[in-house]
Amino acid sequence: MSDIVIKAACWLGPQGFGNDQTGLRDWPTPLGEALRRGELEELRWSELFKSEAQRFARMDWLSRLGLMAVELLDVHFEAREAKDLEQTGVCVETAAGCLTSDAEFLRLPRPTVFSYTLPSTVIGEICIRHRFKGPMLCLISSGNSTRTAMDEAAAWLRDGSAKSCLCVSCEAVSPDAAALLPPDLALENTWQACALLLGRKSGDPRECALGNDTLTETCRHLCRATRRC
Amino acid sequence: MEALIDELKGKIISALSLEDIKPADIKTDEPIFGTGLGLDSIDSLELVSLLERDYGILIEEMSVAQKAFASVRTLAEFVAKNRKN
Repeated sequence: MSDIVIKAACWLGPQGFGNDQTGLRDWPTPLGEALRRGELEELRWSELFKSEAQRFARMDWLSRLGLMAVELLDVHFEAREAKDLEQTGVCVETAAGCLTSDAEFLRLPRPTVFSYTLPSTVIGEICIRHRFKGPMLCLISSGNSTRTAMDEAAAWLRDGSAKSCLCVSCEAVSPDAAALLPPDLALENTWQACALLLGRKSGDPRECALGNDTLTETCRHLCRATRRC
Repeated sequence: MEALIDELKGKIISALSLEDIKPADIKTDEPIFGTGLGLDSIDSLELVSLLERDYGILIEEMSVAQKAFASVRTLAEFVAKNRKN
């Protein structure tokens, strides 16, 4: 994969948040304590970003975290030309998918919850916000030891389907939904999200070579060890 | 009627997760859709569902919904006239 490089990476989860430029930071207290207990409703967009995010509070947590991860990359997509955005792909991988929304819909069927009973909805929310129109794919992973999102993204870059690709890994399992997880699905965290921006090598000082780690491991490694590619 | 109007504003905010919007921000006589609330077609389904769930009102025709959802006041009048619980 030497022709394909990582342009940016970020991670957020119970232990903190950050990107490959800022490094991982702790959540401020008492927010951090609430987030470590899985109380995601305490995590507001304004906690991390100064930008506006219309409808953020109305999304499910899979979409909210996916959207936050892409924003946390600190890549200014809004400054890019329309033709570049049209050739930006998004590949999301998730193990638990939209289990939380599924459980909520079973408990009380509602149209606004139904919209999020597809794990791919997070891709739609990301693409609407950033006007991406490249290839899109949502993969249900086994929870670990997979590089499928990065493999797919690299394939799109190589065959010309896309000029840059976002790989997003996202989990958002509420305490209620956690009881519904398959016993053999061992999630490290019931909620977390990370993102990588992949593209072809251009000499940008922020670029990193792809290794053999999973998407989550790669993001966390890059955020913990800022600029040690 | 004013109490029902306030109740409906609260239910709209709650059902549609309109963060940062207070009941006073919703104008009683202005259109519910196509204004600053930023509601979409899914939201209209949610409101139809709310009427059925909370007031026992079943809306089956688009023309009825269009009249009922013209404003919070028309919605309150509609609920007052048709509620079953």
